Amino acid sequence: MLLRMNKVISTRSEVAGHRISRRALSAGLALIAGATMLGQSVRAAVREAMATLPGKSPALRRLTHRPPNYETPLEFFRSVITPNEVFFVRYHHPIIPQVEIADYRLEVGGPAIEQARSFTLEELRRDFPATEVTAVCQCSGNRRGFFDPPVPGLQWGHGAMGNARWRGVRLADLLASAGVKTGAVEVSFDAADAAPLEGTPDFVKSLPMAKALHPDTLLAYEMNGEPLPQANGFPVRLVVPGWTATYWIKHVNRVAVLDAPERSWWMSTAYRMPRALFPLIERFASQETAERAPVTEIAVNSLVTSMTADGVLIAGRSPISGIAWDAGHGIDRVEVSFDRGKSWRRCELAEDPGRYSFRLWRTDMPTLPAGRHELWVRAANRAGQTQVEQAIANPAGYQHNAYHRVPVEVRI
Amino acid sequence: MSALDPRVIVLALAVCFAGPVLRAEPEAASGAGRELFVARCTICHSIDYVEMHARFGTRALWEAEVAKMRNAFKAPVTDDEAREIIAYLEQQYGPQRTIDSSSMSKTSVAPGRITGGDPRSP
Repeated sequence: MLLRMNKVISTRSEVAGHRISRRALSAGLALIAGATMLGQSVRAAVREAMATLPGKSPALRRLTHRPPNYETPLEFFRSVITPNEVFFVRYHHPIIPQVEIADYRLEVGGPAIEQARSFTLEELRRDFPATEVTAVCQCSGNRRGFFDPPVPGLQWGHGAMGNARWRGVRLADLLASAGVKTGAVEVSFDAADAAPLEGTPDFVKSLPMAKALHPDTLLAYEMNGEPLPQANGFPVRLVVPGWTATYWIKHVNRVAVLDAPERSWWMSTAYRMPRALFPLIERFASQETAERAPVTEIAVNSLVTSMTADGVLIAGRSPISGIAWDAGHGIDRVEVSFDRGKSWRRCELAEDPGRYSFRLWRTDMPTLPAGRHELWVRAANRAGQTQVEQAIANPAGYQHNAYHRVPVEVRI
Repeated sequence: MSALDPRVIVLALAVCFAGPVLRAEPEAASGAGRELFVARCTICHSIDYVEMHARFGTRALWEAEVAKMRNAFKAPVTDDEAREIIAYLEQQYGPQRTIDSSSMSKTSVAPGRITGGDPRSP
């Protein structure tokens, strides 16, 4: 059994304990000297602190410790931009090095590159124009926990997603500087994180040339005006607006332009769906088989966000508002129904912050008879796609975009 | 993060007292096969991955998961060990078992059905 033992040990301390500055450590040590209050409460506080990722709020809902997977509580989707400290976290492998900027190199190469190159973070910032895009990053398996019958995998609620302003260099500019040969088929991406077992497939993903060269596809070094949080890919992550987060490789350190399709397990087997179930507009033809196609675009979706803490809308008291988003085709309309889909009324859409962004919507509560009701919400995009009444079952539980249903109470 | 940030100080304390007692990860349920399960499965992941599947953790599910871990992720598990681990998972992390709340991490609660909004909201 080949174990990356030293890495496992170091990562356990990094994931659970995080990096502590010397100053902070001596402050802590000084405190310990006088810490007569080291009872259960402190131990509980320590336990809680260790359970929080660096730069992240304790408000994040933890699904798993190792690898770390945390989702954003629904109330943070009331604003268009999801703050960095509550932005969701998703890892496949538990070995997650803290990359030092001085050591960081982005290698650009592969069989279909003319001149392999290597860039420091400083060179990326200095030598290429900075571009900014506001885009939703959403896990393919967001809402998996709502499938019925249940589907194995991380049991996400609504919060394996977020919307941020990403700033960085265009992947197209970077590739042009190294020269792309004719015959290039895909661009693949590898990163600093790793699995403890040598045999576990490394998390390597690829993009078709058209998406890789799209002017909105970035290697981002900033998120909402700050350096990327460690748990969201510091120092550089791939940003693929419109496509699900499986392609948004964090801590990316190797970009390879390929003359044949990428065959990593994460491309050939994982993140695939039966083709017939989900008609896609932006496809990934070089990875498709007769039966299955990779997940690509984010399905059109919406969410009510104005519920009380109990998850209920109270007639006359709660505003009705929320968000809608899709793969960048543009939200055409958001509708709500109070009679389980018999009739629908259109909501007001707020200003469009950009085609890949969350878009806010609102509507007024109609007069309803006393008692309990249910609000349904659905969005449609300009490509003619709409949400579905029942989530489309598929083996890995991807692309859940059933109407959001929220209880409404009329209190007299 | 400033050195005076109370969270940093708490983290510093955490490092000083880091040890089995303060490990934040949940513990495996006791039962036959526990040691083997912990030895093989927690090389790569914490036990909350398992807990979150308990509400539908049938024997078929655990067989499929163990097979995936062995075949796709190359978990170092022999056929005999796989049988023991599956039996342990079926016993300790199946829907028929009322799981002792102290052995479950609070975050592994399933979100439930979509009707009812966000059931995991506080």
